[in-house]
Order: sequence, then C-alpha cells, then structure tokens
Amino acid sequence: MLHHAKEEDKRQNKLRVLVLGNANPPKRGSLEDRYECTEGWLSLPPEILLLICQYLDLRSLLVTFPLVCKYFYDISTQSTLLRERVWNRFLSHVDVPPENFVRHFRGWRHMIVSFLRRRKRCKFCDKPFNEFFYSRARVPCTVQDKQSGSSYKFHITIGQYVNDHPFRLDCSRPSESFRRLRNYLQNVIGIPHQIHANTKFFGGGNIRFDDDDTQVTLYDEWSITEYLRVLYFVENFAEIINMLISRFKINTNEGEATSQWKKRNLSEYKMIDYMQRTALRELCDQIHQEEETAMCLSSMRQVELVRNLSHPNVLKLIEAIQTPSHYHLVAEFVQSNRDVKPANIVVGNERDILTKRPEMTIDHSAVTVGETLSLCFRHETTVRALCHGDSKRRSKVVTPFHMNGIPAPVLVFERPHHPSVEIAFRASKSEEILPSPITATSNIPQIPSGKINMVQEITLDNFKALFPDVNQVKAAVTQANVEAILDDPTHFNINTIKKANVLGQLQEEGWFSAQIAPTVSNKQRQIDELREALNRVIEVREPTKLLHCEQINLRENSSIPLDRPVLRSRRGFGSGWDGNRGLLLCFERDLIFTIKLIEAIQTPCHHHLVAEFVQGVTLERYIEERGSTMRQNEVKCLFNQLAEGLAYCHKRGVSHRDVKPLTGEPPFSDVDVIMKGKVDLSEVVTMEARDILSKLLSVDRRGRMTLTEYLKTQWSQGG
Amino acid sequence: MASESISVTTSDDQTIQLSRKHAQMSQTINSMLEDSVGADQEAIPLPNVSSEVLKKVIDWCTHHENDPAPVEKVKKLNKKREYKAKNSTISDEWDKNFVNAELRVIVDILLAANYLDVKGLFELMCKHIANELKGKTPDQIRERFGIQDDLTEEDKAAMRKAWGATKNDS
Repeated sequence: MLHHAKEEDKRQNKLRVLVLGNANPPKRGSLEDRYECTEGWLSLPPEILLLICQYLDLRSLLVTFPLVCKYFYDISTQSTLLRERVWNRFLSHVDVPPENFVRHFRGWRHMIVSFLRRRKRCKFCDKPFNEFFYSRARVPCTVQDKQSGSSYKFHITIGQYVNDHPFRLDCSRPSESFRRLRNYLQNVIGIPHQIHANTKFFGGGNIRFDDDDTQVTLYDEWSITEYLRVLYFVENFAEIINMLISRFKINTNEGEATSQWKKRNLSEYKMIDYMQRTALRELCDQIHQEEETAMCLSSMRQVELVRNLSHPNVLKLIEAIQTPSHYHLVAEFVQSNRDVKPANIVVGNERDILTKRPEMTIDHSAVTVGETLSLCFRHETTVRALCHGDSKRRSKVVTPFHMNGIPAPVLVFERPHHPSVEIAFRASKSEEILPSPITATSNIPQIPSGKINMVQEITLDNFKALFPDVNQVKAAVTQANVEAILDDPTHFNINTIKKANVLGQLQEEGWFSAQIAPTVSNKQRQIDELREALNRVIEVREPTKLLHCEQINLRENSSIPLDRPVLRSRRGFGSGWDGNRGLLLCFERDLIFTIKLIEAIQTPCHHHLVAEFVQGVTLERYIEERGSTMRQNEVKCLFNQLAEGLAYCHKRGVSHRDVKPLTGEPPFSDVDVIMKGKVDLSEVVTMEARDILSKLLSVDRRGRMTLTEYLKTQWSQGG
Repeated sequence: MASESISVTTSDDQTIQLSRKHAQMSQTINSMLEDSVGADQEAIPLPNVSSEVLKKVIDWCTHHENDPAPVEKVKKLNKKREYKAKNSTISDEWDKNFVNAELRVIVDILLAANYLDVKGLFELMCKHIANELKGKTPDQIRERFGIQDDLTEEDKAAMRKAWGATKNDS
C-alpha cells in the first residue's frame, strides 16, 4: 500500500502531505481523482467540515477558508465536491442525473450574506423571513391503481412550507400503489422518518448529509446544508415530477396542472430568479409594505394542525396560502338554508331575487354586487372590523357609510366559485379601483334640504323643482348622477318604470346627452370593472391589494323595509377564531349545517375574516329569541353538536378556548360558583341534565366529565 | 439486566472491554445493543475504529461519564434566527489537555466520535479544530495542518476580488 502510494506520488510528482495510520481511508469514489491531498485532515468528509464551519465566523468562512487549498475552496464554494456528495446522497437511485444539478448551489454564500442583510429589515417579526417561504407550486395528479382499478388524486406541493416540508404529497385515499410511490419517494429523497399519518407523506424536511444520521431535527438556524436542500428541491421539482410520471404512469390533470404550474412559474414564484433579483425586496417595495412583511412559521404549523381536522361539526380548512404579509385561509363551503324568518329573507340567486322583487332593476340586482352596493349606500351600513386581540374594537362599529360624507371606498364582489358569498373589501387604494359613486354624486349641486321631505313622488316636474337653476345643473349632470339621485331613498322612492320614464324625459330635455349615457349604465360598468379587478386580485393572490378586508354588516334595526332582503353577514365570527391557536369554528344558529369561512387574511396586526354570506341568526340570537321556550330536547340537540365538535377537536389536540356567549354574562360566570362546584340551576332542568351539568362543571379535574364521556352518556344519546 | 461490560472488536482485531455505561454514551453502540437484546455475549464489531483511538474515546467517556445527558434543545421557533458562529470555547480543563494531541489523532478521534455518535466528544473535537482555524491566515492554516497549496493564482485573485479580501489574507 505504502509502496504503491509512493510510486503514485513519484509519477504525479506530487507530495502526499500526511500519511496517517488509518489503514482504511474512507472510500470517496470519483472524488479521489479530484484532489491530490485526500488524507489526513483533508480526509474528513465535507459534512464534518461543514459542521466545524458552524463554529467559525463568516469572515474566516467566506474569505480565508477558500484561499487555503482546493478542497477548502470547494467546501466553501461547493462547486464540485458538494455536488458529488449531494448527488450521491440524493440521487443514487435515480438513473439519469440531471445535468445542471447543483448549478445554483454556487450562490449559497451570497445567500447567507444577503440573508443577513435582509434579516435586519423585518421589524415586526423576529423570525427571518425567507424568500423560499413565499413560493410554492402545486401539481395535482391522478394515479391509477392497477389492482383496484380505481384512481385517486393527490397533490404534490413544494415550497410553501419549505422549512418543514419542502416536498409534500397529499393523497385523498391511501392505496397500494400510493404506498409504493411513497416508498419510492422515500428512497429517492431519503427521508425515512417523516411520515405523518397514513395519507400524507412529508419528505425532505430534515435531510442530513451524513449517511448514518437519520435523526429528525428541526432546523432553527440556517445552515449551508439547508440551503442546499431547499435549492435541490426547488431546482429539481420538475424533474422529480417527471420522474414520477414516467415511473408510475401518473396522469397529471392536464389542464389544471399546467395552468397552476404556469401560474406558479411566474417570475415571482420562480425561486431562483426570485432570489437572485432579491425579489423579496422588490416585492416589498412594490407593495409599499416592506415593514409589514412578516412571517409566522409557528402559526403556519398550527394551520397545518387545524387543516388536518375533519369532522362534520368542525369547519374544514381547505387551503392556507401564505404570502409575505398575509395568510389566506380558505375554508369549506357549506350551504345553510334554514331560516328563522323566511318571509323576510330572499334566498337564492340573482334570478330569484329578480323574480321575487320585480321592482328592482338590473342595475340593482343583476349582480349581487349591485344589490349590496345599493343597499350599502341607501342605508347606513356598518363595516365591522374583526380585529383579533382587540375585543373592544371587535364589538364596535367602525365606519358608518355616509351618503354625502367622506367617501368610504367599499368594494363588494362575488367570488366566482362561491356564488352566494358576499365579500366586502376595502382596498387601501380603492379609489383607483372604484370611482366611488358617492364621489360622483357629490358633483351634483346640493339639494335644498327642506325640499326633500316634501317630495313624495317623483315626476319630472318634481325633479326639476329640486334644482332652482336648471340650466346650471344640466351642464354638470350625467346619467349616472341622476340615477344616483333617483336611487337615493332619502330623496325619492320610486319604482323602476317611473324611474325609466323620468330618465327618458330628462334625456329628451337635454339634461344629459345620449353620448354620455351609455347603454350600460355607468354604475353597472363600474361594478363590472370593479369586480374584474377584484377577481384579478384574488386570483393572482396579490396580497398587496388586500390590505384590508372587512366584513360588511348591515345594521339590523335600520330602516330596511321588510320587503327588502336583509343582508346580514355572519355575526360573531370572531368568536370562533382564536388568533393563531384558534380553531375555525363558528357556532351559528343552525349547527347542523356547518358554517363556512371563506377566507381569512392575516396582517401583522389584524386578522381579516371573509365569511360566507349567511342569512339567519346566530346561535346567540336564536337563544335570545327562543328564550325559555326552548325545549330540553332542542337544547340537547344543539349541545350535542357542540360537544361533538369540541370532543373531536380535543381528540386531535386542539383546544378551542373561545366557546362562550358573544355578549352578556355566561350562565356560570361567577368564579366562586364554579369553584365551589355548586351550580345553581334553574328548576326547569331535569334531574338527569342537572347531574350531567354538575359533572361537566366539576372542579376536580380527574372527576370532570370530558366531552367524549358526555357523548357516551345515556342522556345525550337518548331521544 | 444485561451484563455490565461489553466487548467490542476494533478494526485491528483487538477485543476491548468497556463498561455498559460508557458504551451507552455512544449512540451507535447503544442502538446496536438495543437491536441485539439477549445476544449480548458477542463482541460488537467496530470496523471503523482502531483500538488506539477507541482507548482515547473511552478515556473521554470515563471522564465525562457523570455529565448530564445532552438535552435535546427544544428549539424555540420564536428565537431569533441569525447566522451566528457557535461558541467554540472549551471550558473543561481536562478537555483542553485531551485535545492537546497530534493532529492525526485529533482527526481520528473526530472520525471515530462521528461514527460512534458520541455527541459531546464530537462537539469537542469540532470546537478544537475550529479554534485552530480561527483567526489564521490561509498560509498559517496550510502550515498548521500541512496542507499543500494547490490553488492557482487565478483562483486566489478571483477570490480576493470577489470578497474584497485584504492583503493580509493572502
């Protein structure tokens, strides 16, 4: 051996600097050819060297280290050596290695440095925000199970939860072929320990480069290997997919997949470019929200936890998308169709509304947007801000709309795939998006206030009489303005036909020219534009424009006549959303029909919840209304559903923490009463119920009845 | 309960007895023991470790046998993430003497500790080597570790240009 080595040295005219006693130098494969010095200190595997580098400061790591020798140079610039190592580590099972693999690893030092620079920018969040987090690609696939012949869908997601699971496989149903696929992925990606449940496979989260170490650790510091790992998946995502497709004959759902993939492939989702252009900064500049850029990984985990819940009485969280400044939580859509006062509420689509309310014009109700808008502007509409952590504000009406006051830019639109959903957005720069109708009306000369009440019925003369100087008004008036006046119930109360007549007459008299008045009314066009813009915003998920998303809540006791649809957004939604820990539960009146949250957006200081448009009352109000007339079985039914939902959540390790009446005193608010375990129950309650309640409220934790136990009691199961 | 001493076979075919307590400080041996409960009479083969090095490792284990087990730090997520060099200070006096050895021994112990998965020892060795590397110029590192300079001038020039290294670094 020694002799042979000497000869080799002589031939290559190179020195072996250190010849050590270790008789079995580790096998290095093709790496040996690359370096003349492969023994002694340099025989250390690069992984260990990288570990040693953890103790070094950046300067020696980045500046001094590469100048020592080629091996160190490669370690710290990782051009060749790591490529080999990483390649062997990751892809020893893969037949055809991609050529440009690890091409982008070259830049990790820049990454560290730019990361450090950027680290200082995040003022709101003490976690580093990292561009990797903000991107993701999701490819839906279908796999045909050869044995059973059934197909099932799964999604391959990469990037979004990159710190935990850069690569994830979601499957609707596990099957044999899925298991094989999963095993294969495990081999390829090399993570044996990251299998959550039997339908999910999380891979790549904790790849360590050393062969013997398969330990699962959470990274809380950025290491070089982590960059490599992330980059590997990013770089090779498409290849992995292709590989899977070819090996397992996976059919990707062509249209969906490509469209999504293309969308994700936009420059802002292309992570490498993203990084190189320091696009986070660009994005921040672009959205004028640099300082608010925040990253809450821990709550992301909780979202995952919540997402895994699946129970008929628990709201299902479908998707959580994170952008630099927001969360988008999309939850299950559940139709609710039980109404307390069906006579007062028009349920149905726009056609139904039209037929049931023939006096409404297309302008008003062809789209629910128009409906809501007109209602907003006709009546004092309240916008309610759901600010978590600020309970005072939560229960306070924030912005009333004024007809002639400050323009309150409100966008109402209908989400395409949730037809019955009303979502109100107040965009920060909404003036640009929405030329507010209020601003339009403000151009009209003020109508003398004394006259308004006198006008009972609109005729052309009455209308003209409102304006002393007709000629002056004529010049400044457009059809939209006139319509706005006519629509304003404080001025007139007219039906469609009369309005059309008046409009026609006004036009004939030259109040506004036909040119200015388009076939589609200005309002309609505005609404359409607005809707388009918003749809665009939503689809692209531009977090930037969704600075504020607030629920619209019409005041209940306002002067809305009974023959008009009462638009009520869900009240008390915040009760089910306990910050980051929360479970998206909402206890509405009809618990049988689970409630839906469409979207929740988190900014560094707010939660914004976009809820389904619900007609009806809350559970709280239901109880108020029914009062003591509720029968025990009814109460039991409601409570059972509550208990089922809660028991399920508890089973999954999620505690709700916010089940309580929205307002008023809870029945057992007195701490003393609870502590003493003596609950003063009214005499209406039967003995069994009393027994159950006292057990549920027991002070002793061990003796206390859990909700699961409650559900097993005869009382709860009995009719 | 299993016997108190365990025999291992090193790469140079020597059989060494070590106490169970020491053996369990090595995660590798520990997991081997767990795998072969009931068959603990056989010597455990350690093909990657020489007897000389293993004795060193046992020395270290003997000195540190009463150390509290390394606590897996529950890594707090809200902790600030910054790139920060780990603290490489060696606090224990005995450890300082221990690492004061020839370079090749150090390297062998490091590799052995890595293989045997003795966390404390591995960290100690890494710290020691990092200390050796710290604050030195490339020339000094080469001299200290006996590494041949196989970089071309162009490489170096490129590096210096890229990182704005001062003349002292060359």
